[in-house]
Parts: sequence; structure tokens; C-alpha cells
Amino acid sequence: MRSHLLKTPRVSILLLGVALMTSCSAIISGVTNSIAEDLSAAVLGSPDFGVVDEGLPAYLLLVDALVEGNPADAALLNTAAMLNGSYASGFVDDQSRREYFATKAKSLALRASCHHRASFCDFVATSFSQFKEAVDDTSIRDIDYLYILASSWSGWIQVHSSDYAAIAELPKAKYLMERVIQLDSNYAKGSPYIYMGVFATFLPAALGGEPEVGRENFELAVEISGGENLYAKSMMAEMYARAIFDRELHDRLVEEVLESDPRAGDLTLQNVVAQKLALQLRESADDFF
Amino acid sequence: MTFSKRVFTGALILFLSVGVVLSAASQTSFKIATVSPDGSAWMRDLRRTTSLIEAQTEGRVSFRVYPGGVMGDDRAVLRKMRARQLQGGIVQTGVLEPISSAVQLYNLPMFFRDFEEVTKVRSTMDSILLQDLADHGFEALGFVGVGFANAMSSKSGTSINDARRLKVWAPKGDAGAVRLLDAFGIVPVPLSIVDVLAGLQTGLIDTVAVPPTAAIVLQWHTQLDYILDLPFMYIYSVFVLDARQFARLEPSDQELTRKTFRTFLSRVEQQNYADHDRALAALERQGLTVLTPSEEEIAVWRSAAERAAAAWVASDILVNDHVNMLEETVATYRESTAR
Repeated sequence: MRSHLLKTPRVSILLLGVALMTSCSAIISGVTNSIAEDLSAAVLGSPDFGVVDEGLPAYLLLVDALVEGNPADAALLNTAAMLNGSYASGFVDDQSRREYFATKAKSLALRASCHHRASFCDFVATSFSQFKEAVDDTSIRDIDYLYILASSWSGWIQVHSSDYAAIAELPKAKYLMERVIQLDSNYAKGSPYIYMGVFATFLPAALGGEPEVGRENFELAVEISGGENLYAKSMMAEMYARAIFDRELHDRLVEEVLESDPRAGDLTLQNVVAQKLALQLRESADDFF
Repeated sequence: MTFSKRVFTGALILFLSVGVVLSAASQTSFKIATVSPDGSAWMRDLRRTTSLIEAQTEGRVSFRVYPGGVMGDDRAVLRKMRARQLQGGIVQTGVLEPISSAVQLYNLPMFFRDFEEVTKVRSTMDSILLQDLADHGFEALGFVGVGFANAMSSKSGTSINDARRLKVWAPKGDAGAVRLLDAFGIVPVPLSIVDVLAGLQTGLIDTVAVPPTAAIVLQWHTQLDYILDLPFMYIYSVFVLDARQFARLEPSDQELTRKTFRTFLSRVEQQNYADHDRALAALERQGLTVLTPSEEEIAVWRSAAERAAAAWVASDILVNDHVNMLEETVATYRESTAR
């Protein structure tokens, strides 16, 4: 998986709800969440990759400070995980820094989940069968935590893709994402389907990969977003069209992404990243095919 | 057109043709395929290595790599090499069984006890196996060890009798694996590799024997609970190029290509061995239990393995001389290390 995906629209709704329901002692936490929420909205809605690239480290320091002051605030931890994971995958080229931020994102997401629900603690160490039982017991109220944990975990695995201990945890990230889709198939404008598309295509068909299942998932992500999710198209070009060696489809998808307007609310920054990826795919196509 | 003009034109065409032939001879390209996914660490290393050779030969030798099984599975890769659609591949040794009666020597069941033994044997015997492949039209650049296949199961069991009660997977169409399991008195369930995960989930099979790294990458470990601590079989791949195409290279380019790829294979193998140990540890962390058979149980397993080896020789999968040499080499090594 090349990139950690960005943002869930439900996070902001949930954070607002938490702020309204808090008592006096927790008002500070509500304000904190509001700052984090505004930050993430500004970041994710920005069409200027350069501004975000330069500004995000400062935002991350601020969010770190907020987390330091509110270490048990599940919603804040979840937002912090999302921002750190996005930074790791979309903005950092240096491998050791990517590992640092991806690990931080996963750790924050695990902490967020654990504070949200006690049954989510020890997800890493628990056996797969026990893990499945805990995930099966979730409801729509848990979906933001499930999604951020699944995406942070996937991003961490991607960054550590040479480490078999990390790859061994992939089925858990995948199971979490499947649960997100079961709970709400339209969640995050179809972004969970991009992950499912990558999970289905990262292995060659000869080793059990399912390219056609991948294609269906990428297409669902495009469809659910009303065609706005450009990242789904870029990933379909890289993970599906290349896997089946279909140059025509690959080039068509790449050109569609490059010709599209990336501005699409909170998908904007993700779409800008998608265009950067599409450009790389176009430049490397002659070598690949 | 006058006679002299025709001669001149003919000479020009001949000259141009010779030029084309010379040009083709000085730029030889190899299309290489593997089922390994693109983007993996060793695929990145392969691409760096091919680029290095291209640069050092100033473009006289070039490569195009087809990863991720886009050219089909290992059998398809060999088929396409015969049809000259491909000029190289990195394939599991099992697919070469119909071609070579030497290449599967290191696959002898339960023969090696650790990587040190393998390394010792290979330092003396690789050249024999590679020569056998050369005799069959391959420029075999070398082997790359993947690791040891361990039996892994959702059921607990350490003895050969326990194993006979299990539903053990064998790769569909792999006659060697079926014969091997037959020798252990195990009736395998043949399935395509793509159907194994579903087979484990539905209970059609409950046991596989693969390297721990493969169990993790293929995500089979989620359906498994036990690992038998007994190296079942050494698993390795071979990197072959089409010998006719390779013969077109200048001798100095041949030597450079061989040397550079051998260094690459050695690098990948060291990483594979390290990954093998890390993968075993990761499986334990994921909750799988390591089962250690008793000395008596191991003796029974090894006795059955020796019968399997004899069956391979009887079936012409291997040559007796090679097996004898292998046994002598290992015996000498074990003596020297007082094992």
C-alpha cells in the first residue's frame, strides 16, 4: 500500500458530539478537540500540497501538546493518529522518519481504541480468533476508531513491509477494514474500499491475489465518491492495471486523474497526493510495460 | 537500373543488413519473469542489479523484469522461455523436475538440520547442479535459498502417526510432493496454492508445510495454531537465463553478468535466512505454538524420509550418485563439527 489514506468525515461529527456532551471539567477537552478538528479540516481540504507539506510538522507538534495534556481523550488521540499517519505516508520520503511517524500513528490509534473501548486493548498481542470476536462485537458507534486504527495499522505495515512481524499483522488490519464496510458501506466516501482493493491485489494472482476483486473494490470507491476519489483511480492503475498488464487501462486511469480537478472537500489533499502518484505512474509506465 | 547500380544497391543492402546484425549482436536483451510481487525488497534489489549490469556493459546487455506473475506461474515462465517469449526467470526448483534430475537434490526431505549444513553442501555441489541445467539449455546463474518448510497445522501433533490423521495439503500437479507424502504414509489433499487459504478456513485441509515467511505473506497463519519444530524440507529457487541468448554476449559481459547476479543472489539469500528466523518469531508472537517432537519421533520421521529419498531415486527425480555425494559431504561435516 503506497499511501495511508486521509480523513474520515465522521470524525468531525463525533468530536462535535463529544464536546457538546462534556461536563465542565471536560470543556477543555472539547476545545482541544475543536482545535484538532479545525486543523485536520484545514489540512485535508487544502489543495496546496506545498503549504501542507511545510506546515504540517508544526501542526503535529501542536497536536502532540494537546495529547500530552489530554492523554486519555480517545477522540483527540484518534485525530492525532490520523494526522501522523497521513504525514508519514503522504509527505515524508526519508524511510526512518516515515517509520517514526507511522509507528507513532499506529500507537496513537491503538491508544485511542483502547480508551474508547476496553475490549479493543491488546489488539496486537491477542490471537486472531479472539481479535475477530472483539471486532465482530462492534457497532456503528465504534466506526471512527475502527477506521483510523485500520488505516494507521495498514500504513505502519506498508512502511515496515520488509519486516515479517509487521506483515503478520496484516490480516488484523484487513479484518478491521472489512468491519468498517459492514457497518457503513458508504463510510469516508468509499475510501475503505481502496484499502480492500489493495489487500486483494498486493499478492500476484499466482499466489492467491484476487485482481478482479481488487478492481471491484477500486470501482466501488470511485462510485461511492461520485467520481471524486482520485486516489482510488491511481491505486487501481498501480495495483490492478499493472498486475494484469493492461497498459491501455493504466494510461486511461492515470490521465483521468491528472486531468481532474482535485478540489473535492475533505478529499482535496488526498486527490493532490493521487495526482502526484499518477504522475509517477506515467513516468515509469514505459519501464514497466 | 544498370548492372553496376544493382550491384551497388545489393552491396549497400548487404552492408546495412550486416550492420543490423552487428547492432543486434552488440545489444542483447533479456525478458525475465517471476511470480514475486513488485515492490518487495528483493525485487527492488533485482532492478538495481539489472541497472548496474546495463550501466557496466554500456547498454550491450539489457533487461526487462516482469514481476508479480504477469507472465503466469513458474510453469508458464518455463513454457514461455522455451517459446523464446522470455529469456529468463526466477522459479521454484520443483517446476524443473521434468527437465533436470539434479536440480531438486537439496529438496530431499528432512535431510538438512540447519542453514550451516546447507551452506557447506552447496559450496561443493552447486556447480554440479548448475552444470546439469546448462546441459539442458539454461544459463543457470545460481540458487537462492528461501528457508526450511515447517509443518504447520490447526491440530496438535508431533509424530508421523499424528500426521497421518491430518488433512495435509500438497500443491496440485506437484507429483514430487505427492510421492514424498506417500512415502510418509500421508494421503495429501491436492489444492492449487490460491485455494489453500479457503481450504484451511473451511477445514478441507488443516496442515501445510511451507517456510514461515510464506505462511505469513500468504496469510495462512491466521488459520494455523501449531508449528512443528522439525525442518521438513529446504526450499530454494533458481535463476535461469536462456543459454542461446546468453551465448550472444561477449565473454567479458558474460562474466560480468554472472558475477553480478551471483552477488545479488547471495545478498538475497542472506536476507531470506534472516527473514526465516524473524518470521518464526513473528508466528509465535501471533499466538502459534511451537511443538517439539521427541528424539524417538524424530528418528521415525527421518527413517521415513530416507525411504522417500530412495523413492525419488527410483523415480528418476534424482541420481543416486548425487544423493551419495550429498550424504558423504554432510556426514563429513557433521563429524568435523561433532554433531
